[in-house]
Amino acid sequence: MRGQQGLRFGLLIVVVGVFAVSAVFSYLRHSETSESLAMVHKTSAWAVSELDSELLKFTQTLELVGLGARNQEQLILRFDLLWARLDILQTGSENLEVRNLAGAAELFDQLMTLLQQHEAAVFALQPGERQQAKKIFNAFHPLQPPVRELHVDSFYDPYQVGLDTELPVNQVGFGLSMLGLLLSGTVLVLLVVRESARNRLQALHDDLTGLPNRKYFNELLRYSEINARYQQTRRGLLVIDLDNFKEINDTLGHAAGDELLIKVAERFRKCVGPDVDVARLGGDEFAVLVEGTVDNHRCVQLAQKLCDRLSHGMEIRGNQVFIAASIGVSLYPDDADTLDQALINADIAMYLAKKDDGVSYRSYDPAMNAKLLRRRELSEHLRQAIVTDQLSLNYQPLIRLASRQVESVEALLRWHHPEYGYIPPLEVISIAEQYDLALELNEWVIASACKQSVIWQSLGLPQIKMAVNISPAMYAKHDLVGSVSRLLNKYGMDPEQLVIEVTEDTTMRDIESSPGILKGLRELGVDLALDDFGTGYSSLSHLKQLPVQKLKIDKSFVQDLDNEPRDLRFIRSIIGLADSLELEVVAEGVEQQHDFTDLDREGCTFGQGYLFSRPRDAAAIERILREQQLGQLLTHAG
Amino acid sequence: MQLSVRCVVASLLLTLSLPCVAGVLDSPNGDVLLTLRGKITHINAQQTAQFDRAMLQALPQHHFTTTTPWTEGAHRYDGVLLKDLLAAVGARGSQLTLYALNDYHATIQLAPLRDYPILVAMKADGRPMRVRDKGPLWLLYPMSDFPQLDSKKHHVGMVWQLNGMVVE
Repeated sequence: MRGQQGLRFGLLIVVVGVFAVSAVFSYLRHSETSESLAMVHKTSAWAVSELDSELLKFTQTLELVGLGARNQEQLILRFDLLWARLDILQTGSENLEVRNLAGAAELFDQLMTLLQQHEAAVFALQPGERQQAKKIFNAFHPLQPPVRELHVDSFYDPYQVGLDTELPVNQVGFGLSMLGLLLSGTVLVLLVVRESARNRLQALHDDLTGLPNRKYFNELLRYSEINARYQQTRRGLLVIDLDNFKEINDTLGHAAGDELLIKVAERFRKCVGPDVDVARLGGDEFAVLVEGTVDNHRCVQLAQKLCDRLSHGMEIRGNQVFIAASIGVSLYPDDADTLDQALINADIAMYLAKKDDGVSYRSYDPAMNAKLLRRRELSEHLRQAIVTDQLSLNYQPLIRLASRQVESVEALLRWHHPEYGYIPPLEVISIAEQYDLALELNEWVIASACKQSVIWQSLGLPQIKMAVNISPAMYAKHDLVGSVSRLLNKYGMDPEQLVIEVTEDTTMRDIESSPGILKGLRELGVDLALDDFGTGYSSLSHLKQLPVQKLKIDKSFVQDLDNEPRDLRFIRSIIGLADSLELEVVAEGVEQQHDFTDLDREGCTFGQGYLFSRPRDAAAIERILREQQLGQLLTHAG
Repeated sequence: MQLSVRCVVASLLLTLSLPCVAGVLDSPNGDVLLTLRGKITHINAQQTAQFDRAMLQALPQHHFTTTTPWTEGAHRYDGVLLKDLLAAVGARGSQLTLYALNDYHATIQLAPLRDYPILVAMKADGRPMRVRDKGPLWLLYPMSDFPQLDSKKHHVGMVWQLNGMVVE
């Protein structure tokens, strides 16, 4: 690259050199030519003017000698000078053109004859011989006017003297310098054109992968749309996003990430046809424009092919790396009025493909957009709802099976949207996670639960614990321990009254940091419950490390108890496991009386479910607790 | 005594001025054909070096045959090489302005002509040149031997009826 640059610089220097030399040469040639032309004109015209003046000087000297004012020697010098001048005009090549002027040769001959005739008389003339001098004067004087006339003519006549002999030489030099100027000028122009083309290429291509960049891709879309409209044909758009790129960047470093992108781009490029353009939109996002014969089948096949290609592991800096991608597919004009909109649609489809585990590509469906718009709108409203306290908590009691007394309540989020009505808690949490509202939402939940717990306590109701659910982002992005500690303090709640429910997935996903967070929570004095136990992927060794006090058996296991014949093996082994780890067991989703009987018999400590109570508002819970004080227990659905 | 002192002073002065006056350059006896002035170190008259025919003939003689744009056919020219003449006067200049009897003058650069036998011609075809034959002196370039000298640029420098030179 450096060598090439040097070469280019060298070439530029050479070209500029040739240009400069040619220009200087051309200038010199030009001045030389004009000088030479002036000289030609000057010498030729000058010779005639000299003849004019020599003749005048001779005749004047002649008169002066006649008057005795000049000597013989001076006269002879003027005579000889006139003779020499005339001789030069009559002979030789320089004054050929002058002789060719009309009447010139005859005039010169006439003058020469006169000189020869009077030579003896001139040489013999003594100063003061006035008559003799006058006689010679009279012989020469009549030629003065025609010589003067020739002198004037020679100035106005366009002389060609010397041009025939001198210019061919100039012509060659001039031609060479012109050729030099032309060639170097052409090369310079070509270099400039090439350089600007390179710049344009660089501006429109991604440095790393060499693929068209977003700007170029947008231009491609513009042209393609015009053509598609004109030809009434379809276009397919694919948006590809790598799933675990950030992870690779974080673990192997940015250089490895770059290398990966180059290899991915290479694979994409290799598996698309000539009527398909691949571009890198930025980061780990790629886009594909399909032209030619396009239908959904072809695009989906292409998406499948791209995913397959990626699924083969690749070697990056000695590491075997497996990368997956999510692809969204959209068709123009089927899904959108413009290719730009189709690109947005493909993006939506990609996003949904990414959200669904195990799906690597999805075709756009108008419902997706509606869903996405609703989510976006909800996210705005959720932000408002958190600030203006429009959310609420319901509480579902957790019963100690032996005493049938309420041991604790699980706080559950409720959001009644003025337009969309009841929004399921899972959707609320997922929106909060996506739109970065997790911290606000979780803190609202913890704060509200704490407030309520303190209120009940102040009412002199039986002491019950308060369990809250925490969304995954609180573990990954925020300082959960800090939030809990601050809120407990703020509302003056006893930490031992608080239970935080964590899911297996949450703890597993962040196996490195979670124990630290959970330990931190334990150190505050907060109880921990492992929620939805049995649905995730916890290993027993991991379970042993977790500082949890309760296991909540997922309701699917409890519901299995309803099948005939009743199979208690799972429940039994989970309870056995919990016992050996010294954990209390909570059975979720207890709905039938016989479930309660079975669980109680198998040694399950707590139960939660419709059999005892649905999630209720704070007032209802207060009632239940008051009734409990009066000895009325929750045994049936209320 | 006084006389002898004067003699000593006079002879001293003479000796001091000799290199500039007589020792290197003789004084002309005949008609002065050529007068040089300007940047020259050897002189024989007031700030000038004057030459008569005899003095010029005493310098190394050279000849060539050439055609000129002002004559018919080729002729043999005899005379003194310009560089010998300039050496004789100890010229230290880069250009030369040439003067003629007919009041013509031209300036030439010496450097481009250094390698050519430029002649101050005194004879054409063995005969001294008269004024009417472009004499008595004619600065001539060997145009037939060196055709590159046969150009308009050089023609202006070939001054006939030459009678003066200024070294600049």
